[in-house]
Amino acid sequence: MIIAFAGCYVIRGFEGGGQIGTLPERPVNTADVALHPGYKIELVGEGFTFPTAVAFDASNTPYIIESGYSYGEVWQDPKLIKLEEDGKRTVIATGSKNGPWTGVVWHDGAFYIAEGGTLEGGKILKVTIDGTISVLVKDLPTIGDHHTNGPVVTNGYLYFSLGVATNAGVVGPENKDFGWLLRFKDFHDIPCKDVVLSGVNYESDNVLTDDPDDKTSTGAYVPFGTSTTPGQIIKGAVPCTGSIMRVPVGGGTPELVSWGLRNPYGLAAAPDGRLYVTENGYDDRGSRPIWGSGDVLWEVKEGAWYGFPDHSAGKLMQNDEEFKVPGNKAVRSVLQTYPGPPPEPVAILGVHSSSNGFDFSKGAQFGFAGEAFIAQFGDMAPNVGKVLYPVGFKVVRVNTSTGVVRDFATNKGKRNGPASWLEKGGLERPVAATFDGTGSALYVVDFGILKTDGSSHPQARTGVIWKITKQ
Amino acid sequence: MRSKKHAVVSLTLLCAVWIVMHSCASRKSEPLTGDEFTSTDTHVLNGEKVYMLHCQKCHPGGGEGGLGPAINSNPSPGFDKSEIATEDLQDIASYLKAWKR
Repeated sequence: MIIAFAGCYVIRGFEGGGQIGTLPERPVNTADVALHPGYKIELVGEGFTFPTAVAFDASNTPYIIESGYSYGEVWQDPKLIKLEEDGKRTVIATGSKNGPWTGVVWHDGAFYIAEGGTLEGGKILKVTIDGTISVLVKDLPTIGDHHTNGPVVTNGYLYFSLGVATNAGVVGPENKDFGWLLRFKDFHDIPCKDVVLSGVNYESDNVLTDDPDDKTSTGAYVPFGTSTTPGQIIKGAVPCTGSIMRVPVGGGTPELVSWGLRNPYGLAAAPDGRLYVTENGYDDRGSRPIWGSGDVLWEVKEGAWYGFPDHSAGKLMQNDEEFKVPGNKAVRSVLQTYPGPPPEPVAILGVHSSSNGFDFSKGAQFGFAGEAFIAQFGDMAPNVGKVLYPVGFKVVRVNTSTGVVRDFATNKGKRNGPASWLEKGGLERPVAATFDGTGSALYVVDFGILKTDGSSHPQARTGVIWKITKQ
Repeated sequence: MRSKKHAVVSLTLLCAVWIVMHSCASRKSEPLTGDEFTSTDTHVLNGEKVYMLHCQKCHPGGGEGGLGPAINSNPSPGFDKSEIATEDLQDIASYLKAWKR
């Protein structure tokens, strides 16, 4: 059966939701969205360029951030935009060419924004209501595949997260395609504490030379083209990639909270005060491709190591058929010893679903009190590997006690997929789900159309803000 | 040579049947059925929890296709007892049957 499945899998074509042929317009139609019974959806605003998050001020007015950067190496100005009830939009602040702005939170009279850091390194910005921007944290090592994310404020601290530089710890030719390897030839992942390597190296084309026949060998936690040896120690440093950090809201020295995550994206505090994070799992790409790695919802535990780069959802990947790309060799660990046992995941989400920004329902105003509502951006196949059907492109709810995941808002139709793929007017790429100040409305930030064909082609002015309430 | 050709033809036919079978699978998630899925059956509830740990990542949305094929019209778990205990496999089958509702 496994052989038959592997054979079929290899024969089947790629069916990612971003594989949409010609680029369509973006019609918007709430009737194309199916919701959990008893809820309704409204359009709040459309025509945004790469929106990624929303926050609410003390009077419950929504503010949207436009990221300013998208995969596909497209830079625009990151913006914080006030969206009033009559539809009027006011740009409160404009950032620099160092996006993407991935998250925003309102706290005590100011906004705090996570700036991804593609060109200058990640930052945490404070923006006052008059638009003045000051830098709370800077020089975060997120100039690679993944960026500085978050933030959330709880217990007097501002928590934020840093994604790793690579897919699975090894810099490869695909990082040139991302764009950053040519900008930062020596960049690589940085462990938060000392790690001991197994000395596994990966041969690849040397994309840093003009000779198409030139090959090179690269190990984990080192620059492209650098080999490693068994027992080699890589010194830990903070700030580090694949981590969660925090800083006092009033400013101060950032400190490490936990590490060993791949791309920790969304951060949110539950009504009981516990902090959770969504993690994007590994891709089937690059020098060290991994298959079947689900996204994860974790509880954030201080001091914990979550398993990157040798575990997925807490499970060791070495020699496990579950993570072996069909037709490839089994996964080998790049660490000789592991910093500790990873915690148990709260929930495992769809492979390549890109489970991103999320929030918790606080009570009866919306229902499902204490459940996490997670926006799933959706797969980026074929760039991240193959899927048989589109994955994600919806909002799911997760019971953190049982790990049960259920669809909450998804597009109608015989197949799941983004609106552009279905040729309808529903959800495209939900990237954040955030409750308003009253807790009665769930705002869904929809990034807009992103075509994938080996490269990424984001479409400006196709972003949408939706609002879901109880009927 | 002949047996290799035979194997390729058989595999292709098997795949064709499998693709047709799974392309007919309908979506069963709550927003689409308009029904909240509930159960008091302990086997169904345990089956759902185990499904979420082992199956959901490739068959999200209660058995829709994703990395793997849709299984919501053909509720038969593809694991063996070395990976998931026999009782849990039976519970997953009970859950998928109930989910198919």
